[in-house]
Amino acid sequence: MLAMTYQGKRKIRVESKPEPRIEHPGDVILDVTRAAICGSDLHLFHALVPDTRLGSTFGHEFTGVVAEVGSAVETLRKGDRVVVPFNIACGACFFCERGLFASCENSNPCSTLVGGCFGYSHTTGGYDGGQAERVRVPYADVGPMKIPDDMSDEDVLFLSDILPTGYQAAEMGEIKPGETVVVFGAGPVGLFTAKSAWLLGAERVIVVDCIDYRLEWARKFAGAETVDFRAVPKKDIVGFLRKMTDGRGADVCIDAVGCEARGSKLHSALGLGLMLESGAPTAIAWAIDSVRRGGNVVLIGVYGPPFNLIPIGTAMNKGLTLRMGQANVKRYMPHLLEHIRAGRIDAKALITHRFPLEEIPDAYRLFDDKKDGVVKCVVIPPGASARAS
Amino acid sequence: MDPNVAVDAPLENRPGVPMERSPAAPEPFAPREIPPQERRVEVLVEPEHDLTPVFGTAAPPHGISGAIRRAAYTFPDYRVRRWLLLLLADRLESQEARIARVMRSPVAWIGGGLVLAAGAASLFARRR
Repeated sequence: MLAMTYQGKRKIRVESKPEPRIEHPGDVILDVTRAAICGSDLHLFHALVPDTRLGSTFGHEFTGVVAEVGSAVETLRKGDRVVVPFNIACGACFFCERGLFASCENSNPCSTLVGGCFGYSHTTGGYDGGQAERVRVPYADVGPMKIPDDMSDEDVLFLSDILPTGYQAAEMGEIKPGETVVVFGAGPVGLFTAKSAWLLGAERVIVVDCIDYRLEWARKFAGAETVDFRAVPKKDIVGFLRKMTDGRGADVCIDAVGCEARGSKLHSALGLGLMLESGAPTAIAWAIDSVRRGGNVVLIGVYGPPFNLIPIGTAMNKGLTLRMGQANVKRYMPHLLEHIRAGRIDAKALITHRFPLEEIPDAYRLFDDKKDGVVKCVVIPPGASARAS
Repeated sequence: MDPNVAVDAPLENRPGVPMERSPAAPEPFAPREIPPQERRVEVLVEPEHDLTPVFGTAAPPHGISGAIRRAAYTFPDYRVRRWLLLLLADRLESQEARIARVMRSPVAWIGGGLVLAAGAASLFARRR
């Protein structure tokens, strides 16, 4: 089958790989119909996540049609259309019982940091991802959700990650009526975070980025106020945000950028150039500095181990609540499906580019370079158009 | 005012509140006993933990980078040295792939052969 494969920093190619097989009675094999490229795939692409091995296939946002079914699978049949959470979760361990599916202890033998994820290095279990013609899906009775007949694969594709991730970010902010929320990052997750902040009752939503067309998306798609951090006086984004919020700071600040933030020469040099910290934690540092005393800071952008330089003393002295984590996608899928169905969130609208799987290197380059107004790239394997409805 | 604003303001409308579900309960179709997946490839496992019943099989360790990964996995993931070794292995694996590509190239073999031949010829000429 054709699959995207990682070949080293900023190098990927499409090549023929052996078909995945049923490795466990609870597995299914999917014919992939749509697979998206996530901003966090770029962290792998830039070799920022340890134990990202050559030949691995990325892709943790995908839909597909069930092609093979393991002997223990009860809820899926051949031909079912499904959308799959990026978490691989057993559904019954200590963490899954508590709804913390991202922390499943039965899916990742390689580290105790996090449960298994599709296509996201051996740090998350060493599973191949969905940027391929076919993909193995373990614990198939737990993760995948059948796609309703009246909805297309693209309608629900982002239930696999970025929509629940954005929603959970806003939810972890414990937004109360009348509060001001600042979202750092106007990428796909940031846009869904801002959109979710309104649903949760925010009075004011401000999105910070430095890319003009993405700020325009934040205004039009998410209805947020925007700030270009490169255009603020003296490049003092923290001071600027404090002035916008009565001098105290926002009630909730959310890092929806992760480890490749721009805006600090120091962090860019240390984290992205010299690799002396795990990427550039500029957005989380700004979030800690910009939030009001006693406020909530949420970290949903991805960082890898082992460490970053962040102003933890500021957080302590301001009495902040810090909340973070990979999204527990499965908990949010039914609720957010209803928001999509009701028209409250037009998730599909973020798709700006579609590429055949064979051209996925071009898609990565476009997405990485933020060219051509790209927000979200979706790849389509050969023959998938006929299978997707 | 947008009728969708604050539609999820009541806490009972928020699927992730509280973050830890209480009472804890397994998913309806979750397997109660998980048979172990057959280990067909080398899988590196967090020390002091058992292999999970289900695991990924992508890209088993190989070569010198694989030896470094095996060494890295002797340290638990709260040790910085484990991650530094893995980052080193990642960089080294790229170089291994580059060398392998060169070794597969006929141009490299022909070039190498020509260099050796030239060296031998020069040695032979000097001795005469």
